[in-house]
Amino acid sequence: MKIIKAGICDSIQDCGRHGFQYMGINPGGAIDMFSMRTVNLLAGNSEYAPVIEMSFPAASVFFDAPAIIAIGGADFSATLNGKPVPLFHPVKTGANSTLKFEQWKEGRWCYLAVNGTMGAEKWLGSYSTHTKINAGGWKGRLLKKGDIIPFTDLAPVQDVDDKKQEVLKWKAVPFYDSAPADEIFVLPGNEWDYITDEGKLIFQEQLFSVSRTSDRMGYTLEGAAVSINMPCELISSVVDFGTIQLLPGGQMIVLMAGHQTTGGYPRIAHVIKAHRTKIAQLKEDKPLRFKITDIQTAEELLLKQEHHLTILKNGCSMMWADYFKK
Amino acid sequence: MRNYFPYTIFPLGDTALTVDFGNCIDQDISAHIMGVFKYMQANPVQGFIECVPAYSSLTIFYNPAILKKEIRSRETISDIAKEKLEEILEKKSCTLTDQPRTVKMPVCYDEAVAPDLKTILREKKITKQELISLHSSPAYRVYMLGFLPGFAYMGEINEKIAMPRKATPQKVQAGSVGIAGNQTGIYPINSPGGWHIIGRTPIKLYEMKDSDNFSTFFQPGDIVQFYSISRDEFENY
Repeated sequence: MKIIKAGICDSIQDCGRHGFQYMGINPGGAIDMFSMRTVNLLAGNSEYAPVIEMSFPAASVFFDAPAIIAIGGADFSATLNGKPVPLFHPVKTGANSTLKFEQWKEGRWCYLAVNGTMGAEKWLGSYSTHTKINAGGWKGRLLKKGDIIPFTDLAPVQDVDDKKQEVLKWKAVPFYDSAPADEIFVLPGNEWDYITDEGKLIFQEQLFSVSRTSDRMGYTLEGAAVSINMPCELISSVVDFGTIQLLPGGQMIVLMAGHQTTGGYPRIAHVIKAHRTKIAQLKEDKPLRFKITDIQTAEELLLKQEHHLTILKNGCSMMWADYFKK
Repeated sequence: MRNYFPYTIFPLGDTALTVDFGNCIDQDISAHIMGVFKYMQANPVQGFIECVPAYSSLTIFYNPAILKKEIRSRETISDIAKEKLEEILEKKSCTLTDQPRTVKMPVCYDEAVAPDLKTILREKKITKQELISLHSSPAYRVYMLGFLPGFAYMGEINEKIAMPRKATPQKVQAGSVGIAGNQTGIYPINSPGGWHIIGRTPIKLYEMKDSDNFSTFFQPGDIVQFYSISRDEFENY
């Protein structure tokens, strides 16, 4: 697989490295883990295998050998050899195929899984790219034009000609929960009560949007300022993906996959884990609303999401077993 | 040393819990936290992903899919995690008895590697010699690692040189020694940073032996003694 045009922020990610935060090493990993796991399963990989994570404008990719791939997450109008390819379907690609992302349509992060073993660098148990310390993924950096990522154990791909592709008929269905698409469920943080009553209303009733300057580390929210009862300086303590920090000016930052391990700003709320995928994909054009929920609901949604992926996993292994029998 | 510290446990979202020993910087509390941390590293709990110590708190991340299996009646997964955590916190064997290690750390306080030195001297109306003496005479304790790989938070610095964080972070070179509030710390890698930079050390703060081994120069609990070196000594270290 060769990168023939670089994207602006494309990197290799997996489920992240865990167990090293005590040394200041953040877990990283795919920002939309749900889409990452889905494309892996569709492509016949283990759900936690490394994938290419892309934002728009995304890289153009050339496949010299036939492969089975799956694309999902954000919709960047993907084309293979000039023909549109649907998201969340397994696709057979012939040798000398070119994958391009033509136009931004929806979402923020798109994932590409290729069936086989990616020849990337594993650092501290994970293939996720740690760009700060230049380790893991592809030379510890974002993907550049000319990078050739080798794959081994490629699945045998038959009946597809050079520069041609075939979209397999089965696909992954989206995961829906009862919440409206613009609603992000949160749990109150330890410093929730530092906010003024007016601030609490603003937080729950106003619309916020993710600013353009947001990145893998954090999403800065635009909207009304949330005020605090008294200025406070907290001693640094641990933060997590989904933690909503309140800056002194009243602006909020939602910490994302590339967040630092610790922080000192008030943690006013936490996005529930089941809604990380939803907030991760929000662009500046899609305003969001926060809804305070309880731990029971958060856990139920997370288990439902896990169940959804288990069903997909079982379905995919059946389909692939069947496919390779032929 | 006291062997009992009051704490509260609060959820950090739906997949982590934080044990909070009070919003304070205290050597005994810090030692106790490191004791609990080391106990948990040596005795992993099924369903706990990792444990992260901080100044006056300790956070554990758990895997809800694993802990779910232990649910009885109407409990939440968060309740299960909390019960498991409390069980550990009640153990007496968590108290740390290790003697702290003392490390000497060379710092070059030359303006060429200390972009914020002049600002501090002007603002605090002190000489460079006074600043060096105020910063390098106390022995500091490493309270925690965080922010960047190998970044050690040390305290507490003399009030006479305490500076707030900068309003906007600036580019900081690896090895830079910074101060913020009553803390001091060293940037292990080039990074944006909001601390005022008063010097630089030639010591490398982490080591990557291979893809499975990473070690940091500092460990929480270390006692750090800075000493001043010249520009020449810094360049030829």
